[in-house]
Amino acid sequence: MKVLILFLSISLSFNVLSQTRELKEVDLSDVVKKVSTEDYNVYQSALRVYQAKEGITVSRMNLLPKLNVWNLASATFAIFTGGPAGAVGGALNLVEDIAPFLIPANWFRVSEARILYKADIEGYRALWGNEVLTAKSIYFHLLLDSSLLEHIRLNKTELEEIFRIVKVRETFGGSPQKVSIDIQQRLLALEEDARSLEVLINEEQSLLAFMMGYPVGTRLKAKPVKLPDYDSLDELNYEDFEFRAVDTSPEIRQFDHLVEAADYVRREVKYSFLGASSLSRGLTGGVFDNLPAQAGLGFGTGASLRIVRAQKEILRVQREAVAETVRRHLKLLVDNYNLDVSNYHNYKRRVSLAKNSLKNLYKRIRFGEEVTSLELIEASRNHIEADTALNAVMYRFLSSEDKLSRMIFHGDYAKHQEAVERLQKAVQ
Amino acid sequence: MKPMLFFLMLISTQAFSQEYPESRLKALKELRSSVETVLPNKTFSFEEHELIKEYFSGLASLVDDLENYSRYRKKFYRHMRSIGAEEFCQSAYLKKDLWNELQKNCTQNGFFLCSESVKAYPSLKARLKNTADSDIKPGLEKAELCQ
Repeated sequence: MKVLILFLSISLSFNVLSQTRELKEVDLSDVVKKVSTEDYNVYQSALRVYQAKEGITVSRMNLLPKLNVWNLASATFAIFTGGPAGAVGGALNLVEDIAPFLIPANWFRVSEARILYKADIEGYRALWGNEVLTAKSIYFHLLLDSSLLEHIRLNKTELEEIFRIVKVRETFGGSPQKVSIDIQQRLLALEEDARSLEVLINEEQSLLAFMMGYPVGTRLKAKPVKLPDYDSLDELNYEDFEFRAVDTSPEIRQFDHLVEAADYVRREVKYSFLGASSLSRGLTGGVFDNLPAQAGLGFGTGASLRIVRAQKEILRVQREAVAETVRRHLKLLVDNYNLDVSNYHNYKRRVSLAKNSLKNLYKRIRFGEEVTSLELIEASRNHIEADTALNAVMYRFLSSEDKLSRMIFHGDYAKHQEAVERLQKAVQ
Repeated sequence: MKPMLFFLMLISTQAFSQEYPESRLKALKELRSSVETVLPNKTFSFEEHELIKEYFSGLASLVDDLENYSRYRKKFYRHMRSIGAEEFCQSAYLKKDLWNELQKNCTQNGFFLCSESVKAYPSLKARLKNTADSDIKPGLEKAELCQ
């Protein structure tokens, strides 16, 4: 027994160790592919699409006769005990089972199921797009933070060099003691920044691994991406993108389908005197579930129709609100993109100036000229800040471009159809 | 008897839901002409984009109907025989150079900004050709306007 426990604990700890040490190198295309197939939310949504697709078959098949033993028994009982009237009543009770196609509501449910399936596909497309966008955004942040960490380390080395120069000067009385203390404080702050960044990078790696379906403990190494030629980037025009953003938005299209389905719900209520359908409309069709469509013609039918009409109007208003939100997001995105385009050259110039200034100071030190320590610290800080800002704006460009691609379903997001097909095959 | 009647009613409504080939082709021709007028613009307004989409979606819906409804297909090709494949292509299709120009103007800063249905144009033409009867197919393949 003890041997078994020992063996198990050794193998378990080996497993844990091997998991925590697993390092995977991934690139952007891996992220898109893995998120499309392994992400938990995407998979759940795909299963909902599958349910909706099967829902069409259920609605269609329910138009054919079915066997319900208890209904049959009760009808037989009515036929034998109720005389001629009982026979008619019993037979009519069976209509829903033996001739469900005689109930118009069942036909309308087939059409509704077809439309709601399309709405579910749009829902899936929206969720898939958002998950891919989030994963890619984490990937870009991971690259940015890794490059910042690298940068901080380089600057720390640079500052340590300055520290050594200042220390020598202080020893020979050429500089006040306070300066080396200032540099030490700055060095400590850089160490703290580096540690915080390491934690942030770990968090980002863990989140990305989760979205890509890797087990806990998998460490991801993001391969660098090809950065665009920033010098050739032009400012964008909101009007150019407006049509495409509205036309391809799955959120808007989903509402279009719901509005279309509302017409069939209205017909269901209109013909409810010929019987009501007991079939579920599924998750997306839930918006119509609370509408009053009672079986039989009553005094409430008129009001029921008005309620359905109002529901359609609600959906139309919601569609408009979503369309306006899409437009607003697009406007903000384009404005921020253009802001970065116009600021990019400034950032680049700042880096060049800061670098030159630091280089000049080093040169003066090497030639034995008088350079105050504070001047050196200030120049080093400016260099770090300018470099960080430039790095940040370069990755922000990537992120903005990607958001724009998500809005108009371009690039990686144009692969949604493949993702839908792949998942449909997987769930079948 | 009643269930049968109900069935027949539903089936026949579906089969006859498409427009007559003549009027459909006329509508397509009008849309194509409108698209041709906006094509020289380097960028399109929202309304122009909608017009372009309407033309390509119209063509797509025609191809869908030809693929899915055999009765409509027969009716449609009967009409095509009477006017000829070249006349059909002249009415329904965009000229190749105009299509290339549209593709170019739809792409800005590397982003495709027109309706998704625009992209499907070559595949739509191929699908339509596949639905054609054997006596019509050579005409569709030979006529320059149909390419």
